[in-house]
Amino acid sequence: MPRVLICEPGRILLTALDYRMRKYGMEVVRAQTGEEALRRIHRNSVDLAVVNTRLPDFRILSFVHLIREDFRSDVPLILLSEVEEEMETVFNALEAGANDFLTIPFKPLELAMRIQLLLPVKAYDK
Amino acid sequence: MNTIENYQWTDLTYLSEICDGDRELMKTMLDMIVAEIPAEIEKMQDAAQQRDWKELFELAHKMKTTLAYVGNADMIATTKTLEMFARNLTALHEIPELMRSLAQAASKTMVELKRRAQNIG
Repeated sequence: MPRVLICEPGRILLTALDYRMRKYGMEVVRAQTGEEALRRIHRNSVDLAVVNTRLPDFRILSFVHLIREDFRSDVPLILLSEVEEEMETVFNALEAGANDFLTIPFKPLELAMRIQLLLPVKAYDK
Repeated sequence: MNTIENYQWTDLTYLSEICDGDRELMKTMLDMIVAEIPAEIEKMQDAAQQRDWKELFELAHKMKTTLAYVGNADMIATTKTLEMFARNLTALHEIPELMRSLAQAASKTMVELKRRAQNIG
């Protein structure tokens, strides 16, 4: 079962995504801060990470840089951006190594589909 | 007997969408929202009273996200205005009145949300 990290500061959206992704056959690891998410990614304990661009403790660009440059991790990253988020922020994060993004509001099925497209094949063998 | 419920203060279209129509999840989410909104408004009132505009801005931003699930246009508009005033440090004298109006709208909305949660469960 693929293990997906969802880093979302909002408890309500986090609960909904956790519930729905488990229904779609994923194991979900929850985080509400960038630090919690980084700890998981650094330990190589997740197959993919879904991260809100508005983290309480990190700018998203620094967060992506840390993962790609400092940790040298190639874990697939999907960003969740809010409607009013500047597209430049998302664009810069994609340039820095994030793989995809979705704008809130979105349907959970859409997220599940993006996750499946990006998950490494080995994640399904676990 | 068919009962047609009229809901004046809430529109759960987005909540239903994010739950993919799953009633069990919708009930859980509504219970969380009903618990969260009054507590967050209280924090906003404290921040406004202490003139802690940075805190008020952050709380209003968070509240706006929560309100998107509830679909109350008046509350969303008031919260957006509070967020803007607190961020830009403009029209700060209007904040107490906006907070009163938000709290009043919230009390009606909470009654309706509780009714909706009961109807789902």
